[in-house]
Amino acid sequence: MATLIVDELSGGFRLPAGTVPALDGVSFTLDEGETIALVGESGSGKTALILALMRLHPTPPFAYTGGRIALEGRDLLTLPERSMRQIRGGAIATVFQDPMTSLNPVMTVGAQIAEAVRIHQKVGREESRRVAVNALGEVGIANPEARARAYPHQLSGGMRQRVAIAMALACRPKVLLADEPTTALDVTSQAQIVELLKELQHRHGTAVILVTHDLGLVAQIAERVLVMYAGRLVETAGVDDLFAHPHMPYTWALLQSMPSRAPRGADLITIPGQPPNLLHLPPGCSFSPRCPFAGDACRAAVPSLAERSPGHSAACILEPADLSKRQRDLETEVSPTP
Amino acid sequence: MTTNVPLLEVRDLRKVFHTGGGLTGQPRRQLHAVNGVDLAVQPGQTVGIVGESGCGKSTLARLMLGLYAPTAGEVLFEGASIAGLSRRELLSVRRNMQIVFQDPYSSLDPRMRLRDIIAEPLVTHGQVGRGRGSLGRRRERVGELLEAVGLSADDQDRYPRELSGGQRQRVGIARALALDPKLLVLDEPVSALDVSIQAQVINLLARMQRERGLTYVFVTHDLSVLRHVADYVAVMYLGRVVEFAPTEQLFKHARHPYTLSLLSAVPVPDPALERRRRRIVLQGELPSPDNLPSGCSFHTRCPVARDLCSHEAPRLDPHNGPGHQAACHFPVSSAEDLLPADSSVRGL
Repeated sequence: MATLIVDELSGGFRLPAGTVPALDGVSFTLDEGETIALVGESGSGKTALILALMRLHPTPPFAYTGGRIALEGRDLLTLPERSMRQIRGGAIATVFQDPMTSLNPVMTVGAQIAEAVRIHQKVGREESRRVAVNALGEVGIANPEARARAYPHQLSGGMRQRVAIAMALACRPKVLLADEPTTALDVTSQAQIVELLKELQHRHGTAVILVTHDLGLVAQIAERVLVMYAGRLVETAGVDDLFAHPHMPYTWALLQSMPSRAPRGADLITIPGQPPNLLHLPPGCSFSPRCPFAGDACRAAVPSLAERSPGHSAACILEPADLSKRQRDLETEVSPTP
Repeated sequence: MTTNVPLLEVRDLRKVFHTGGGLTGQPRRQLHAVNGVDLAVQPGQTVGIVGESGCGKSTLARLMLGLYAPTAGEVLFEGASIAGLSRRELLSVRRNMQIVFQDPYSSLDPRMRLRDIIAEPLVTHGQVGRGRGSLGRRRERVGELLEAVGLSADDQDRYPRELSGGQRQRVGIARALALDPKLLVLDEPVSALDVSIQAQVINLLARMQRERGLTYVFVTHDLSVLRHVADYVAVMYLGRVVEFAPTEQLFKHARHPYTLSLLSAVPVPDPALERRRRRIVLQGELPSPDNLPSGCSFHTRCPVARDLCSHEAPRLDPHNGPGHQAACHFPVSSAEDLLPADSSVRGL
């Protein structure tokens, strides 16, 4: 059963210069224990979506213009703020990119986890402290009793992110929203945190939405992938299918631009230009100005996200078979095989 | 092996920073940021320097450029030490070695137009005049440079805030190329950029190297970028080079346990491969460079450390043929040697 259902969610920022359509008809489901990766370039709307799911955007300037968010059957958009506050950090928890800014610098890490526990569960001080120390132990922090008395600045970046994860998971959320949780970390700490997330998720059956721009991380941890561009989902598929047969030229170009996919020294396939300004979206498919395969039909109408092969949807009017042939042609043209 | 004089060479280079003391109330400490590095860069090559934060790679880059004075050791440019140079002589060496920084937001002065940012090195080194009379010449040179890096000559009247991150990094590269240097030190030049923009900048750097015969020192934490661009890779850990090898050799036949664990930590954009891979997850935390472990500085986290490792620091010795060096008493031959016998290495 789906833990989270997002249906045609739309919303934008009302600014003096016009309304920025940050989210445009976003639909997906997240099953119990599942890991979905949400990928896209900066400005594609990944973080806007995460904050919208938690109702964390200040309104105004943000306004929801349509759609529904259902968490285990409860419609989050109609809940009073008071109930929403119970859900944030309770049923839905978040881990953000920079643990230094998400932790309170003047509280010991044990005290801040304990505080979160008291807000969401009816437990006393003693019990909440015990839960906090346990949570620190569970994320692999050695000597949790002593570390609970440390302030965030006394811990390394990797440690701080462990604390943030301990806090997020202390109340046993149904859904964990992890927004670039490893981006600020070194590669060896990154590997530790990824292993930790996988293990904890497995143990507690938490469903995870991982926001990242790192396709390597996606390959490592996700079961399904949502690709976002200019506020819309443009491709959704199982992770293997997506990496092997991208049905949307944007996804293909993202994969091709990774240095590890190209032969050494060969030119990388790049995406020309910049992501579009949401105030002035191009006509038709918003990726068409940067797409090497775009034709007149692409600029005529906005393609909708539709299933193009079993379990694999894309917002592209090109036939998947035709597209993969043209993609291969371009790959060999850029880096000819000797 | 080449017998040419290296374009850039560092010998037993060291840099100690003093922290604490004075009014801070903290105990005075010595922080060994770079702790005895030998490295040679041949003309036209790209040498990559990789390591985690705090390993000293950025300090090493700044020492190479003479932006920091070394505590010990020396930096040679075209065979001559830059230490004893007068201000004037240093200026002429500097013309040949330029740097591109990581963050294209903080490395460009927000109050200067692109034309002034890019002309500044030209004016400083007396290649074009500062005054109104040289305006035409300045515009021409700046226009050429902007076009060389894929921007438009008409962009020169714009401010950095009007540009995206990728465009700003192009401006940083244009500024570094203004004096037609021989060596560019690239300090995490693509780390702040989105992957598609990263690819554009990597292609640009490759083209500039081909067209201008540039030599690169490419500092990064990202091994997959180095695999694509570097001829040689130096792996740093706590202020030392622990392994140095031709790029393919390093990726296929690394000998140092730290290199192998770094390689195994890099995620690969291939889901099927990721599921099969076994990862060496290092235990513990990076020790602080103001309190270095005795002996081999990696022994506190090394899965195969023995007694000797905590007493005696290993030298960077040749292994596996020409150009490959590793600083390890007990070099390993594959990642398998570092994994526990059972395959339950998934968790912590």
